[in-house]
Amino acid sequence: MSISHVSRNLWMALLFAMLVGACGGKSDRPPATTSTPPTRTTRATAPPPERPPEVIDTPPPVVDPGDDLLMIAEGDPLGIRDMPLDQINDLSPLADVPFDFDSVALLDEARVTLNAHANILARYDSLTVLIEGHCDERGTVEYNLALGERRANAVYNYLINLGISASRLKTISYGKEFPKDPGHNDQAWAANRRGHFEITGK
Amino acid sequence: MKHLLRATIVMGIIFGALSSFHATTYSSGSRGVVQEQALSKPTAGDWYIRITDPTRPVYMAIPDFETGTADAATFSSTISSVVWNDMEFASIYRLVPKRNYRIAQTSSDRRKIDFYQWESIGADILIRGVTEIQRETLIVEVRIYAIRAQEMVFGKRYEGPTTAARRMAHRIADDILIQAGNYRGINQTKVAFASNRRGERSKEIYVMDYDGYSQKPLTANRSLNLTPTWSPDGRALGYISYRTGTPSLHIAHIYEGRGERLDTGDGMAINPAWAPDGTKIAFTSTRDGNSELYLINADGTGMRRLTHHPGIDTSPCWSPTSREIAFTSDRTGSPQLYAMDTEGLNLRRISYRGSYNDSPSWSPSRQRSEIAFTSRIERGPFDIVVYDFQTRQTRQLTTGRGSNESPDWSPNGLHLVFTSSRTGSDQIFSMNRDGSNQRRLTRVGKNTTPQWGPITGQDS
Repeated sequence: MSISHVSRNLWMALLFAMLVGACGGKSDRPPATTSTPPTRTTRATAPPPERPPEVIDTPPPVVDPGDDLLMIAEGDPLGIRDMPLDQINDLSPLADVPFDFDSVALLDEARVTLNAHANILARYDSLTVLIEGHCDERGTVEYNLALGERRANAVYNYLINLGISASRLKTISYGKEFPKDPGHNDQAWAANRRGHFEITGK
Repeated sequence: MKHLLRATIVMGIIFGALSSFHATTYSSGSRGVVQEQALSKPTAGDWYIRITDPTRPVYMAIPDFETGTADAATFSSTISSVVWNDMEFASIYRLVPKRNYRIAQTSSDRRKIDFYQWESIGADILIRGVTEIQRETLIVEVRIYAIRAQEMVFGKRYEGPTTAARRMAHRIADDILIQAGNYRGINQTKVAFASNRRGERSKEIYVMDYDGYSQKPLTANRSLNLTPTWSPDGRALGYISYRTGTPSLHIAHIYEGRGERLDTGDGMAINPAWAPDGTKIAFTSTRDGNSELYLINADGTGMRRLTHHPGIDTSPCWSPTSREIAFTSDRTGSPQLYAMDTEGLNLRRISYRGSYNDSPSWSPSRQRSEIAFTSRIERGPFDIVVYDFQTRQTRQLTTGRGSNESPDWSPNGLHLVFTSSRTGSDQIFSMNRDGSNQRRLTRVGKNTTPQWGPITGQDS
């Protein structure tokens, strides 16, 4: 990935965090330490105007619809609507989520990331995603194939519980076949133990 | 239902050279080697007993094969070095160093054997070969002599195309092992593995000779193809392919140039293991929502589930009787080895040492009951260990140079192939069952999950 993509990703992530933060600041976030993914809680991130979010118990809106930020958010905050799929995937709008060694438990930081992903997927509600489970190089080819499948599944279940339709999500395990970082150290291993998101349709 | 997949198997490249060479056994004295003719030939069985004194190693001398016609020189040299290498790897005999042979080769008549001189340099057995080319056919004559008995105990003539020189040499080495000591050699066997040498984002299944020569692709679909498993007749390989998206179980019929995908339902199918009796394939599937073990008949029928546990159950391997399956489960919190029968009953735990145990391979030997696997001791590196069911002892075969994993036994139970990252990237290595004699077999790209093919005897 080029530097410009990295910085662009950072900008997009920041922008989106601001949007989510501004819009959803008072909504009930799942506590970071819960072991089961939360059911979908309503956030006042602006829905696409033509299609309100499917919400079961709607809390009162916490943001004035006239708010400027909301006006921006109603459009295409990530600027990906008109991009071809390859280009969207180059930008990686859905960042990887990390795992511990030989573990399929979602880390706190992974939950935070996945909450943001759920918001993106709610906003861009035609995107379909392949969730890839990856492992670091330690351990066997055989076992890591099974482990990667569990990682992908953990991510999948969390997003489903946040209200993302199962029909939009698929999972696959690549075991330790495709490391993101070719190194053989803690830093590389941490980068390689990941749930990765490939946008497969829009 | 089977999905026929065409044009995915590169055929004929590997096994097209099947035009087998011809070998004839003959008794002492034939083909004009007059000196030996007077010696009577004992029955092979008697001879084994006399030569195989268990209290000391048996020494074998293998001088470079002689060249009968000048144009046979390069083939003679190839065959000599292959036979030497095979006998060295087999580790059955001590090889008398070649530099000592000069004393015994002083006779002006090269066909005459000075048994006393060979005995003086410590040889118990002498192998002599002559290579020549007649009408573009490569002809090799090999004789085995018992030095102290001063007799020829075996002689055989091999004929074939010059392209078959290496295979002929492996055949000769296997014949020497059988005739000199009744050992089943693995010199004509092949090893299958997965390699990414064609591109970082793909892995193809490759097949090579057991010594690393003749590495050829079996698949060419530019997808991810992993974890090959041999059918016991050596005519087919099961493996996992991502070519249709989800990893699924495929069979390559390597002599027919035909491939098929077995229908294992939804979810991914990984880590197949073909039963030694040939009827079934054990594998891992997530079709019921979680990694469980299943059996399927080799023709794609009769699928059934073996394990029922919310943890990961994977990496099956078969006992040599095809009646038990060893596998990996993380049901206690870390990957450990278990065994059960083929009904999924009589579950028992095998591994207790180490924080991570996987990729079991059950020795095919009927004499020794042992299982090799990948083990991580505490937070250290991954190494190959062998658990002996009789002594309940575990021995470590590799020691911490890189990560060593995915062992698989040779069909005679005397050697193993495995993957090691000791050189900086994953490569295939072979070794003896005590961990000695480690040899690197691959060099290009990353190469993983080797599976040692069966002894097929197809060229007899």
